[in-house]
Amino acid sequence: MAGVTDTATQAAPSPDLAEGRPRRSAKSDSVYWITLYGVSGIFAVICIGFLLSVVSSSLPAWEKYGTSILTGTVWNQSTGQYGALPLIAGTLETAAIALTLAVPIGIGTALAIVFVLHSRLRTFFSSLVEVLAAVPSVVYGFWGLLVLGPWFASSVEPWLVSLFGGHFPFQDAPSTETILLAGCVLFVMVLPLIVALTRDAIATVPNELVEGALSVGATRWQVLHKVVLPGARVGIVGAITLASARALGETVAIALVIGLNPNFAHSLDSPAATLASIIATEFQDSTPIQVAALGALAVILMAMTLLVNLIGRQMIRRAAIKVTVL
Amino acid sequence: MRRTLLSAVGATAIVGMTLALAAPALATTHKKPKPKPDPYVTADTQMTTAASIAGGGSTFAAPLENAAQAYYGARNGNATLAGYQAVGSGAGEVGLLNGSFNYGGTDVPLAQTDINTDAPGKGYTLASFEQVPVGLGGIAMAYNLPGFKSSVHLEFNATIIADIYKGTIKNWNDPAIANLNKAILKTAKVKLPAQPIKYVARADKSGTTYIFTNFLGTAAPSVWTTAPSKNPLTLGTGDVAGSGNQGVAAAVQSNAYSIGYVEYSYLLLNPSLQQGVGAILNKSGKYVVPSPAAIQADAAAKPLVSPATLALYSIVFLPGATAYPISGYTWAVVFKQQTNAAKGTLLVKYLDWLSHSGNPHSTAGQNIAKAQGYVMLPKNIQKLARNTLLSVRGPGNVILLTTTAG
Amino acid sequence: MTELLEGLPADPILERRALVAQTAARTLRRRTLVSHGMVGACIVALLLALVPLVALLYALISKGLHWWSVEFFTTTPAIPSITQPNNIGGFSNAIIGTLLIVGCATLIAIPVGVIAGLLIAESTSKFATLLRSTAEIMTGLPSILLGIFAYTVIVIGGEKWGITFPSIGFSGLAGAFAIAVLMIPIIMKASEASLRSVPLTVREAGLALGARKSVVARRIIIPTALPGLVTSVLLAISRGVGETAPLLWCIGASIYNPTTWDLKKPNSAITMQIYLSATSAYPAQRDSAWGMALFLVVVVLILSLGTRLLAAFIQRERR
Repeated sequence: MAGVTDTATQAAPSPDLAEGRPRRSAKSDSVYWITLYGVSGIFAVICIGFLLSVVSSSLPAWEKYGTSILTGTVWNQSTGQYGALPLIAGTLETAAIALTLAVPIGIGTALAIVFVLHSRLRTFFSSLVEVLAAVPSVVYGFWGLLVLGPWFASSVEPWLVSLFGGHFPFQDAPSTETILLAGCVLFVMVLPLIVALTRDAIATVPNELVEGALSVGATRWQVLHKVVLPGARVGIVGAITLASARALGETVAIALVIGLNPNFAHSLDSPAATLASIIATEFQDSTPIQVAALGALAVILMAMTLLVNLIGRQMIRRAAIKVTVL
Repeated sequence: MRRTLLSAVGATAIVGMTLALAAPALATTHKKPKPKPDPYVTADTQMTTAASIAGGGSTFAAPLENAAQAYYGARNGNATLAGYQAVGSGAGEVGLLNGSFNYGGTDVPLAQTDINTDAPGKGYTLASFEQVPVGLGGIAMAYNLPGFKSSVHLEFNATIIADIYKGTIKNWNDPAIANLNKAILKTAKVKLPAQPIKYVARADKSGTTYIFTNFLGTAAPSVWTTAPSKNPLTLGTGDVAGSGNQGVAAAVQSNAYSIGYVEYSYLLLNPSLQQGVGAILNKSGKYVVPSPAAIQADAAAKPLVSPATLALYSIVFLPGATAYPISGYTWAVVFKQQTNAAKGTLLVKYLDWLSHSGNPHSTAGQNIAKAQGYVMLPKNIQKLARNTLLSVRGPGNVILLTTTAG
Repeated sequence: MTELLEGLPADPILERRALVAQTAARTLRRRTLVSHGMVGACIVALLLALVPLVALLYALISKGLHWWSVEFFTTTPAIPSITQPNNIGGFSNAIIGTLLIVGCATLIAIPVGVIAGLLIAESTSKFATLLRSTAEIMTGLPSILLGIFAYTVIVIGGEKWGITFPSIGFSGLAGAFAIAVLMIPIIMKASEASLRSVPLTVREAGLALGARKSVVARRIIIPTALPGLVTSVLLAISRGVGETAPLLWCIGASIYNPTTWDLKKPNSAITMQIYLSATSAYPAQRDSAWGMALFLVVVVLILSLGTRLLAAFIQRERR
């Protein structure tokens, strides 16, 4: 009987109660809704303020430089040139490297964890993946700078250069801070995320479907390929979306390993720069017009992340429809 | 029942973690070591009212500022020195102008153009600021050539360095470098490798870059035609940018066949950088390796210094057989008119202590500078600092610095 | 009898079954080979995935564990000098800074996040749907943008869009604000999930007894969903503890910031300490970053494990 201490409803038993509908006391429940909407309103205001601050801080740059920010190919604070194209390219390249490696390896790992491993090993590896998904990005960047970078510079890159015979995409002399290193650090960061989310998605596929397919004589791969992956499609697309958003926006880890060279990267073993890393390193010493230019970069980054999110949600919607039809 | 148990478990986890993390707090409050009293620090530098200031800027001065703030703060009960952010001279000036720093560290004094671009519309003029010299150091050309011993100092002149940084000289075995170093290479029995030079520059707005480009422009004016500037230098495709002096130091250490310019004390702090230190041609025709004595010799060639114009504060490329040509002072900039009496008083007391050297029984800022690899400010520069600080006023136009120390 | 059966036309279903069985038998070899190959590829993927991850853990433990000592956690950083290059001290100022900043952020984020989560779980209005999408988008945004926001509004402040913001300067408060804005959408989304999972029957029972919606929410829904809410908070805290980018220009971190519990003063944080130590001029400080990184990973690990344990309990409870 907890909760029924409300004198309003006790004093006047309305005919509504007989039908099972409680009578809402107009004045007292409004406090509830006011609190709910009020607090959510505060959050909404903060979000609007956030959007406003990023966009409005960039307005002076858009006014002064216009679309040359989007099409210019030179980013040079000293000469006043603010072309973000090399930075956009750098952002996309590092994200592409990371995802090209992480998606197949991540999905394969998740499949292996769920369907190939023994149940004891399964819990161990799942926990391992959870641990690594929670490691902060500064630790990844720092590890990339001090451990992975020197190894790449001394062993991996010379090997790749000789493999490609000095041609694209490995024609430059190896540096320690390169786009390849940044892409690989991002790969290691994004991998546990994809594995964890794909594993969760695979777990939602009903066991009956899997067993049913096996019982009609499908091989293990056929089951994975034709039943599990399509069934988990929604979750997998969600995982890739989240991973892409993370890869595009990663700041600190990239700033440590990419070399901060705002030119187009000639080859995969030259230093480059991404939108987020340039914002991070140039923000504090920028004059107001330069802050505006960096704000423009922030707007571009925000637009890219939003686009990825929207595409992801659209694909999830379509994938979800396919699943229900199935 | 089970539910409340679970929530209790969760809450206990949070509380437990909090307590575990708070243990350091409880420990530190009981464990502060009491440093020995220091006559110089006590007499004129103690604050009677509590105040807290924070600074930021030049990474050239960062090792000095960090050590000095810690020393001063530990011996001064009412003073809290809330950190020095080593974010580069440009950021130091921006931070001072927008009020986030109480003093900005910069290797190149503030100019009206800086004020106009960093804080437009605020109506500040140069007269609104006082600039105090707080350190004297040099910029080393550190290179990373595998196989070269630390006893081998490749010789460079300003023309070659300028050409490297413009991309005109692309490889280490370029005839210009090879010819200049023929004798050295023969004695050391090493050859310059046929590898492209990666030059490392600053990614942020740097006073160190200013002093470096000032040197190039002064010593090789036909090659380096741009005016000295804090702005990041243009990079070629293989070149790396580092954030702060520490970023350049790290980049040179980790990239083979690279060369970069770092403040001298960073060399001492990173022994592996000492593998390759360039000997630079000075105005008297000698190739000099950076050292405190060499930097001191260079500064001695220009005893009268003022933050007013480049000609007055620049000490690059000065005559002297043992002088190291790439040297410079580093400055702390403060508002002439302080709005908070306590903060203003702490500011002038700290900067006064920082810019002076103590007597045999006490430690002052410049003694700490020496321990960190800088050169102690010459006596007349210390006097300049004192006189500058005497012009800083508090509310009611009161002179804030009251000192009897010499 | 068999004469009757022989006269009937062929059964298409039986024929089809026979055809399928034939195809299956014919292709069995190829299918099995492909299956073995692809499953092998998955195992290879697993091993490939493990290599960098294990390498990271190994590096953290081998380079970081030897830094752990009572002194490391309870003393403030010391300044190495040329004569004493290994004089590092500890990072207690950063531990306290993180505690203060993330603690305040959590205090702000819990009420806002849970109440907003309740709204989007309970209401079907347009505003609620919009809010849900906003929360989803905010969780995917790069955290550096939140740092810019906190810097513009709190550190610098001043006159903006008609409102005068206080200029607090570099402070723990700015950092706490940035982290709170980061945590709120996470708590919102996760609490929505757990609030929604309260069975409809329980809810309706409350309403049927004549309780108002607010009472139902307060006395029934939230207590039922409490473990899930605690999980969401732990998740958000583990995320907040590990963030660096929002704090870059908000708290005025330098390695040697004095320990302070004052929100209005500059402070340090473990993540910033790691970042600054990793890029420090002193080799010994760079090395000490491993010890700090290991500590941070352990903290985040405990928080995530706590989350997992609670989630597992909830699962078992549900059954």
